Amino acid sequence: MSKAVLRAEGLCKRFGRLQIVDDLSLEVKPGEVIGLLGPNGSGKTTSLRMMLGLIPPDSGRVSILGQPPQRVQDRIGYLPEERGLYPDERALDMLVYMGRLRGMSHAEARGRALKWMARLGLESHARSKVEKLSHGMQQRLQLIASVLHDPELIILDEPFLGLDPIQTHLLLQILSELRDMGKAILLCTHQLDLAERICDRVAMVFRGRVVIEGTLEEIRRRFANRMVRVIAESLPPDLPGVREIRSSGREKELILEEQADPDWILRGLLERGGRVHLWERHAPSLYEVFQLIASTA
Amino acid sequence: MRWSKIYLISKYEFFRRIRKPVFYIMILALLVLYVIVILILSLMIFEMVETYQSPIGVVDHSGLLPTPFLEEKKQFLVYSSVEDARAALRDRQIEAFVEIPSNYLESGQVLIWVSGNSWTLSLILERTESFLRAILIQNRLDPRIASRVVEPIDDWWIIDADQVGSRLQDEVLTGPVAQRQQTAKFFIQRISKVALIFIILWNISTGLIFGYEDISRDANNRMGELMLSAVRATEWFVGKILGVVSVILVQTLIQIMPVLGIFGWISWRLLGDPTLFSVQEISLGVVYFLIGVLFYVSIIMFSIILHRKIAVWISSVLGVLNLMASIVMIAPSTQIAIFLSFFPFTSPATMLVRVMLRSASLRDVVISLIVVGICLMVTIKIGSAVASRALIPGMPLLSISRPQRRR
Repeated sequence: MSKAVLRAEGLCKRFGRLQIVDDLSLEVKPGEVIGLLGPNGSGKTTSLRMMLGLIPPDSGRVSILGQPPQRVQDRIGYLPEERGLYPDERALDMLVYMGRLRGMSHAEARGRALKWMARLGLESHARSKVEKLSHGMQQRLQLIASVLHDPELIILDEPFLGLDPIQTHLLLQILSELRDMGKAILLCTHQLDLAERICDRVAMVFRGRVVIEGTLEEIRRRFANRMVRVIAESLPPDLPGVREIRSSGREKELILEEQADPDWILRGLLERGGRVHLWERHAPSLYEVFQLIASTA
Repeated sequence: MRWSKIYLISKYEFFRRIRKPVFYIMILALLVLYVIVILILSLMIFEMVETYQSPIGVVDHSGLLPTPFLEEKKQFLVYSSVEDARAALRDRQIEAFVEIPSNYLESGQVLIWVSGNSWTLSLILERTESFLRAILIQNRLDPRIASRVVEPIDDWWIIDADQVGSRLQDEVLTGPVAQRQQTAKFFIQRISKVALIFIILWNISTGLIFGYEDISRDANNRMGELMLSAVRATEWFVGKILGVVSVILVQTLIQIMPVLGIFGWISWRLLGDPTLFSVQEISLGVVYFLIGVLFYVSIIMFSIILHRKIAVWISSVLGVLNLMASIVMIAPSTQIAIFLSFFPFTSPATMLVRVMLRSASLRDVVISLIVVGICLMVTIKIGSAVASRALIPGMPLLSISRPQRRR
């Protein structure tokens, strides 16, 4: 088993009375994409900042490549949620400067920047000022700045924000390539459908705590028995073992209690004289899992 | 601290400014402005000199003064000995005193005693000349007087009463502490020093603007978080400060060179010697200029990290304090000047003025450098700590979070 590139243990952070992050632990290994998922305000960004050493945790420990984050800044790529670029700078110069700050030589930074710009369709804008570029182009420029120096760990905070479907697809493709190159990628997003397409493992954060963690398969399996699609002529609201009934027209969605058995519930329904046309166990998407967790919490 | 990162940030900030044509246009515009301001100031000073009314002492060894000496306006007070006149000078009863030697009529030489490097020296000279002319006219029976009336002073010696221990005339004239100056040389040096001080203080002020702009640029463009993920807060802060200081250094050098060149040329043409400053004046001037820019720029950068309004307020305060420091030029040896030399916010500017006018002792230099050095280090330390929070969006600046026990 390969050694973790990033290891966070028991991270806690409180701002005033508000507990932002509560006992968060996470590991990212080389060649895997981990999704740190959760709604806005769940403490994802604060967690990332603690992992990067930008904010000191109240308690807990972070090590990247076996060292404190500040000692290995040049081996980390970071795309912050609050995107920043100097608007009066030329695109290529901006990238070269960022590369040099990450320990690259001028020639190396320039060469790689040009390569990445060509890869992301920005080669004709190398001499353009950043302020002249479109929003999408600026997004791509920022992505290049985070991977230019060939980091071993790439941390991306809401990387899909503001991207159109074509750019989103391109980004997913690039992330996949980086993973194949053995990079450890930590992705923070609230766009669960996109995370589902790229992440090998996910950690769902809710109110500062990791509420569930594992591979997508593991998570789906854990929740496979928790959702049933039903078309029935009458559905009593007090069915034992059913926590919630969601309606979308004729079709209903039953959210079951954690230990409930769907077969046992179906039997109960039939015994009460219900006529059932469809009874289907449903493998939930990440979004649905998250909804389940959120409703439980 | 990794100096390679600091160097990169400062280099970036430096070249970002100096590669723009507007940088050079501004320098040229400022040069023109300096010339205008220096001209206006000179005119104001000369006007001030003409209207100045403080009494001047006279110690006469030539016997030209009538006894008893009565003067209507009481602008000249006669003392029987140099010791009496020096006591009056110490007590600020007189602005300066003129010692008329016994061979005055033949030599045209007078000794002018002042306290410190008085700004009003030209006034004293002018008034002394008028006074001597009036006295000479009264004594017109002496045949030697006719030519002396036309040119009452051929040669003069300025003596700083604060630095001379005893009064034996020969010792004064040849002793190491007495300043022997010829009129033209003295004025060229004085005006060039004032011009230099003015340009340096002005450039320090522009350093405040550059510092303000540099931090705002990172904050406005949300670059803080990205920068702090690549470098440590101290490296970022020191890099920014050094970037601005290098720009100011280049800007000041570009502005100073032609000014000094002109004054040096005038000095060379008139006196055959282009030297305007001593090595000590130049080296201490450079030290105070550098430490001044470093300190003031770091303060303004720290304050803008805290809050823009605080930065505006602090830059105004620094402007007023520096104005106070420049007023020290009028009286560089006074108690107020000494106090301003040790007060951190005014120390670099005040000491710059004082060392250039040779009014600061070694003790003053050492104390002021220690004070400003400590304040500079504290500002950088606190500024970096604040930057590491303030540059992260949404991070509360003053939130105190209590450490928790790990579960």
